[in-house]
Amino acid sequence: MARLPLSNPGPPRSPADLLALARRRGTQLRRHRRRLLYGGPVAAAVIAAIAVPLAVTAGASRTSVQVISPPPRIATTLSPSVTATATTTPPTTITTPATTVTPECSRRSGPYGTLTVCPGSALVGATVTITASGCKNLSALAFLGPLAYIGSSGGGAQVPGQISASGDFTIRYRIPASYGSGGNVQQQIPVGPGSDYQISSYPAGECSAPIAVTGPPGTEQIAYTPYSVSGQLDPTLHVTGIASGTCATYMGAAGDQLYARCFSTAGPIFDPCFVDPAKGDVPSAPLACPSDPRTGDVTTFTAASFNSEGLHLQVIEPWAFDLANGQVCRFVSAAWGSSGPYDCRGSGSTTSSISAVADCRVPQPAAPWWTTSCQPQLSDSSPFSPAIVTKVWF
Amino acid sequence: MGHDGDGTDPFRDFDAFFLTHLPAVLRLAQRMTGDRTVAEDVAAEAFARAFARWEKVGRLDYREAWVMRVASNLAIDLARRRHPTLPTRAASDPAGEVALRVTMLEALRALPRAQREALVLRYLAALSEVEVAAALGVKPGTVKSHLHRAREAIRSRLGADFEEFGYGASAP
Repeated sequence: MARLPLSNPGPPRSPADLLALARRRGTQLRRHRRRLLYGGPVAAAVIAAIAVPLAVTAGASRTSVQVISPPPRIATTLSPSVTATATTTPPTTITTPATTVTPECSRRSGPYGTLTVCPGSALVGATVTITASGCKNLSALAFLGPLAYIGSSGGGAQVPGQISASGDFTIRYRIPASYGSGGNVQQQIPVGPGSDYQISSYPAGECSAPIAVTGPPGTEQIAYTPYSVSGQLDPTLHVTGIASGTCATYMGAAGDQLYARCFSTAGPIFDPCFVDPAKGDVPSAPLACPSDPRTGDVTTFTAASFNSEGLHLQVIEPWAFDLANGQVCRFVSAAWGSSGPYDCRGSGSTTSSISAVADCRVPQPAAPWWTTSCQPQLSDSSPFSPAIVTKVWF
Repeated sequence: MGHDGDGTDPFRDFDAFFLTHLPAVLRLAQRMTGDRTVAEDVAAEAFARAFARWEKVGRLDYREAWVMRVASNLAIDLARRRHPTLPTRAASDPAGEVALRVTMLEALRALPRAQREALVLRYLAALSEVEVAAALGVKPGTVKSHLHRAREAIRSRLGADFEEFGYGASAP
């Protein structure tokens, strides 16, 4: 949702002034919608690297830790629908993350040994393999960012994995989208491009090596388009079910995208279902009702009738989003009271330091990362905590 | 619509729509925010969103309800950002009135979307149940159901009926 303009208190503005304001702002929104629909320049939200010297490189002379295995690109191709483009189909990924991976190693040597990170540049979401030998006095590894507090109640993101007493181990680790500040603040800080990141030891200073992090520069906004411009359902989608019943259409954030809430004769409600834009507001072809934006699983829904009065409804929130811990959260149309309304699936990445959540609030746009708040259990007594959103799906 | 390509301003009727319905949207926003300047911003933003998709919104029979619904959601969202900590008890002084409004907005925000929008359009925008039903694309009976559940939820949450907070008196 766009932020409201800030105004200073003063005399009432005339209707003409407010009309001019609405037209000006509306024109901005129209331009934004075009970018949303047809692509646009990559968001230039880059976190300025704050050069804060962190852990000191040190280690035993026999210490040798290497991070090997080139990380994959952050997956913008997980959903077949996202990459489905034709010559006349507008691009569907709204912001494109930086994807450069530099296959070079970062190395630090000291009196206690050497720690090497290969490649020295990794993407957020990339999985790296960390191997070590002889890295003693090491109880844990941590991913540290430039603003992580070092010391008691220190920050960073713990690198999970079994570390043997001998210091020999192999760990696969996913570069997180955020890390903890530690200290008294205890905030989650987004990971952005920069070189002031490192995999370090706990206790600090036993062994560490820098790692440069490249993109994505922020939350990706993705337009889910299950249809080609000619109105064909993306053949790479997996049709996992067929249903029929009645539907009511409503507008989505991207303006021209029509969604539908469909009531099947068998009982279940499907929402959102995507209306083929080539078929107009009252389509006759089956609708595509995705169950998960990343798997490409859809139920095709044949509507016996449409209530196009529902076009009055407009939904500006995404219908699904990804959390930094790897979970996908999907809007649930049923009444949720004070919970939700996004139901989160899965247990999250095993390499994430963020615990799995059950449901989340509506995500709030922010640069570079959208945020939301989530609770671990569907209970009024379960506390909500802030969480980083890595992708939003419209 | 049908303005595109015929050489006329496709937003010509937007201006008339804006000037006709601005007072009602401003009243709604001010009722919810309690701040005239903020209400002006909310109203302008709501109309701006209509302007951004005027090709579709302009064709709606209840386009003013569309703008009111957007305005109410903006007001609720704004209140949430400005008042992260909610008071638990209302008072009769001006500060208490603000607290009361914030409490009510938080209660509205906690409602399911359909119930919230039905309640706002019915009691804050003073639309009839038939008009609310048309605006939301549902049957009047569904609106009654939404309103009943919404009022029950607010009573359960706040321990008082919706009308006791000063809302609803203007509903037809």
